[in-house]
Amino acid sequence: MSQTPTYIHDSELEKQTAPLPAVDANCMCVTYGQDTVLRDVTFSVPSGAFVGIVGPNGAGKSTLLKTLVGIVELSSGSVNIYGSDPSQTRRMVGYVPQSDDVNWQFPVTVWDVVMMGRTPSLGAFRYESAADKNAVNDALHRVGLLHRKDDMIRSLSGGQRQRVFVARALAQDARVLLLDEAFSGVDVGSQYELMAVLRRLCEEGQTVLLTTHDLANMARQLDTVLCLNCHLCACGPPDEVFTPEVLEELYGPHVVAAESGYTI
Amino acid sequence: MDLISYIVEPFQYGFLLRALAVAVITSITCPLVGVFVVTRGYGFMGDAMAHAILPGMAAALIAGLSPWIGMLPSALVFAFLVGFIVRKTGIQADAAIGIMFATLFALGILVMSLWGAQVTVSLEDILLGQLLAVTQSDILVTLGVASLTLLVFIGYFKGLMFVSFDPVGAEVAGIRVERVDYLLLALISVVVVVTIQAVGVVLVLAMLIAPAAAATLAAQRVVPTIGFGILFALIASIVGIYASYYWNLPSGASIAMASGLIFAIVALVRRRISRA
Repeated sequence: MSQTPTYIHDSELEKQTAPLPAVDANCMCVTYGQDTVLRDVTFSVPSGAFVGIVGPNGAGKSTLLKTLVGIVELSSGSVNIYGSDPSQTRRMVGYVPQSDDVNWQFPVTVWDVVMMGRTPSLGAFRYESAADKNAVNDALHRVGLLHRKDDMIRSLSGGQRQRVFVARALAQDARVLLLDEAFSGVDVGSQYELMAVLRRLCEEGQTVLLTTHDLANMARQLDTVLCLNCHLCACGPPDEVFTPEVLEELYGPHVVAAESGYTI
Repeated sequence: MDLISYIVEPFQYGFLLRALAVAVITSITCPLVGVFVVTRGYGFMGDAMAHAILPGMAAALIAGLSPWIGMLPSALVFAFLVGFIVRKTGIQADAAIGIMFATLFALGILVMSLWGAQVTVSLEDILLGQLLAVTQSDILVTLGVASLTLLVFIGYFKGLMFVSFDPVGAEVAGIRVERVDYLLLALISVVVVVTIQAVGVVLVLAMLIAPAAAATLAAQRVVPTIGFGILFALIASIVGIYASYYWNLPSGASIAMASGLIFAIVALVRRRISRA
C-alpha cells in the first residue's frame, strides 16, 4: 500500500490542501468518573488506510473505537470522521463488536445479521426493498460468504463470523470499518483469510481500523499501528514502531524480551 | 362415545370455553417474549417476576380490588429494582434477581398472613392458577393486554432482535439499547401477569420457557422459532385442558405437564435427526 497516514506533525498548510482524512483525532481525552481512559490522543488516518491499534488490556483501545462511532463522548479535544462529528456520521462507520459481546445463541441466520446493517430498527413487517436485498447479497459476496447465507450464525467459525459482521458494515454502506479484537477467537488460517478480505476492502477504498493483541503476526501486516496505553506511545509502520522502548512502554519489560529476542 | 363428541363435549360448559380462550391467548403471547427470555438467559428473571407480584396481588385482594391492579405494578417495580440494583452496586444480575425474588415474595406472604384472613382467594389458588374460574371480564382484560403486547412487540421487533443479538452493534447503529431492554422487561412483566391467571405463579415458566425452548430446537430464525413456540404452547394448553376435564386434574398442572412433555419429545426427535 503506497498511502501512509498523515500525522499532525505535518504543517497546517498541507492539512488544508490534502483531502479530508477518514479519521482525524485532535488531543482527544476520555474520562470515566475519576479515571482517564484516553489522554491527549492525536492522530490522523487517510482514506483507504489499514490501521491497527495495539496496547495492553485497559489501554483504551475499545474506548477509542467507540469514540469514532459516537457512543463514547470526549471530555475534551475533538475527533472527526471525514470532517464531521461522529454523531453525524453513524451510517458511514461500520462496527464489528468483540466476539464476547455477541449473543451467539440467538436464532439468526447469516442473512439476518447482514440485513441488520440495512434495517437496524424497523418494525416486524416493514418491507425490505430490492435495494436492501441487493446490498446484502453484494456485501456477502465481497466477504466470500454468499454460499453460507442461509446458515445459522452460530454454525460458522470464528473467522467466518467476523466476515459476516464485516459484510453487515458493507451492507450499511460504511466507508470506515472498525473491528474490536478482530482476531481473537479466530484460528490462524482464518486470521489470514480475514486479513486478506480486509486488505482487499482497503484497496477498494474502505478505511479499516482494528484492535488486536497479536503483535507477532497480524499487527505486522498492517500499514500503520497506533501503540496505545491511555496515551499514544507511537504510531507508524509496524517495523518502525515496534522498538524495545515502545514495547516496554506498552507491556513492560518481559514482552520486550519475548517479542524481539532482546535480553534485559 | 365417538371422537367428535369426545372432543366437543367439554365445551358445552361455559367455564371450559372461557378457560380455553385464556389459554389460547397466553399461548400466543408467551412464546413471543419467551423466545427472547430463553435466548437471553432471562429464565430465572421470569420465574422471580412471577413470584415477586405477590405483594401487589395480595394488597389488591385485601383492598377488595381486582388482583390485576396490584400485579402489574409489582412486576414492573421488580424489573426496575433489579436493573437499579445491578447498576448501582455492580453485583451480578442473578444475585439481584434472587434478592428481589425472595424479599418481595416474602413480603407478599407476610401481607397475606397479617391482613389476608377475609380474602377468599387462597395462596394455593395464586400459586397454581384458577384457569377454570376465569370470568368474562378476565377474558376481556387478558385479550386487551395481550393485543397491546402484540402491537408493541411488532413495532419494536427488529430493535429487540438487534439488541438481543448484538447490543454493542445496536448501540452503534443508533438504537437506544437501554430503552429497548427496559421495554423487553416491561413486556415480560405484562406477559407474566397475564399468564399467572392461566397457570399460576409456579407454573408461569411452563408457558414462558418450555414451548419457546422447544422451538429454539425446532427452528433456525426468530420468526419461525416464535411460530413453533406458539404451536407448542397451543398444543400444551389444549391437551392440558382435556386432561384436566376427563381425568379431573388441576388445569394449571396439566398444562405445565403437557408443556414439559412436548419439550422432551422435541428434544428427543431433534437428537434423532441430528444423529441420522
